[in-house]
Amino acid sequence: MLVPFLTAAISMGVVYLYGAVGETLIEKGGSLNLGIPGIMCLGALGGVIGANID
Amino acid sequence: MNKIKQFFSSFSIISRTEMSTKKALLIRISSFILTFLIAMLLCSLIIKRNYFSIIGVLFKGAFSRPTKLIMDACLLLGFGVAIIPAFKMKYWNMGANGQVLVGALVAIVLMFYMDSFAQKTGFNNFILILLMLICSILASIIWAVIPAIFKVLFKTNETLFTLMMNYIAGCLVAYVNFVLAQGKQESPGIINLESQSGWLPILFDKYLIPILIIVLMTVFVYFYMTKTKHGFEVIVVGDSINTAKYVGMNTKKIIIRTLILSGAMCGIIGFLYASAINQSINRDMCGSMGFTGILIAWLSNLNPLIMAGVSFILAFLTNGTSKISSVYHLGSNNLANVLIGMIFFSILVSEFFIRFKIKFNKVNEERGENKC
Repeated sequence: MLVPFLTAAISMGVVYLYGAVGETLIEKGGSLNLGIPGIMCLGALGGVIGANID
Repeated sequence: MNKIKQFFSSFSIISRTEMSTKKALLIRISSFILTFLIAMLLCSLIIKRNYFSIIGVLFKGAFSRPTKLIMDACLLLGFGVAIIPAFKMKYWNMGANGQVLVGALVAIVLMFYMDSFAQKTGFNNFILILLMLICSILASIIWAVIPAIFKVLFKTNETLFTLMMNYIAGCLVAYVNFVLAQGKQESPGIINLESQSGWLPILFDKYLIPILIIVLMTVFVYFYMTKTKHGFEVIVVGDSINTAKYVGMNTKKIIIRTLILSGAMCGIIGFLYASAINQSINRDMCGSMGFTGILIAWLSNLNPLIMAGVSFILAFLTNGTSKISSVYHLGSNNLANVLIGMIFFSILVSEFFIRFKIKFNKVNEERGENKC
């Protein structure tokens, strides 16, 4: 019961990890960027467009 | 690499020293009109219809229900006006959404539980409305003051704290909906449909009393910020907190007092949502009005009177573009949101060009890169 829960937690947490690492770099630079969901949306949009090019 | 350095040293961004207000106003209005026309052109190219008929649908649709248009404008104005005192103090209160939700939640819970009590005893409707108003204001004040206390005592970042309290308020609303419907459905729907206890009375129209209350709030904030001593103290704390400390103002008390005012105004808006506009509650009741209110506050330079005009323009655009979506069977509101986003983005960019100007330097290629 615990092991599938932890597995699912890790696999769902990777998405948060990507956003958090990017935001950490920005905050180390001194500014606060609250637009990370928007950036992730545009990345997803680019991926979908690229997958449907042919 | 050298080419890149030469390119970036060929222009520099300098802040402008003087810009007459007439010229600035002309730049803003012309950028808005130009982007509006280009956005309508884009819309007509995407949905392949006549350009002028789209603009006609936009204007007709926005003015087809005038009271709803004014109510939308007043709601946006209410959200903007509620955060003016906090923003003048450079306290970035992004939690207007959550504060309004909590205020509306308390009012709805009171309506739900006092209904049977009011039926049994002869409890007057107006006393119930007054009780709902006071409890909404208190709940919103608590929700607004918690981040302020943390900022004053522990110097936490209020942007993130208030933003996160929005999500807590949303989940709280979902849970209380579940409890009120006794676990059978997700939400109890419209509260007190038969007895109408706790509902604001309908004067000539459903939206007249909320519009009056929000207009009164705007006038109150205008006089508070410009004519009272409290407003002056708020502006001084915003300009430079060290100046305020050296003059002898108690900055901690001023911050908490201003947030109490901001939370109280959000509580009034929450009460209006609960008893006049929709007599039910759910997580996306305010939608993104809290964040649009922040945009309006920024665009109007924290002046309540200009905020009325900007919120009217935004409500006009929102209603008109949703009418475009429904008339041309577009299926969803997304193209309308893209158009609105384009138009407001252009106004923000024009603010940049009002503040800064780009000066082109002569690049001297013979001397090489050591010459300053």
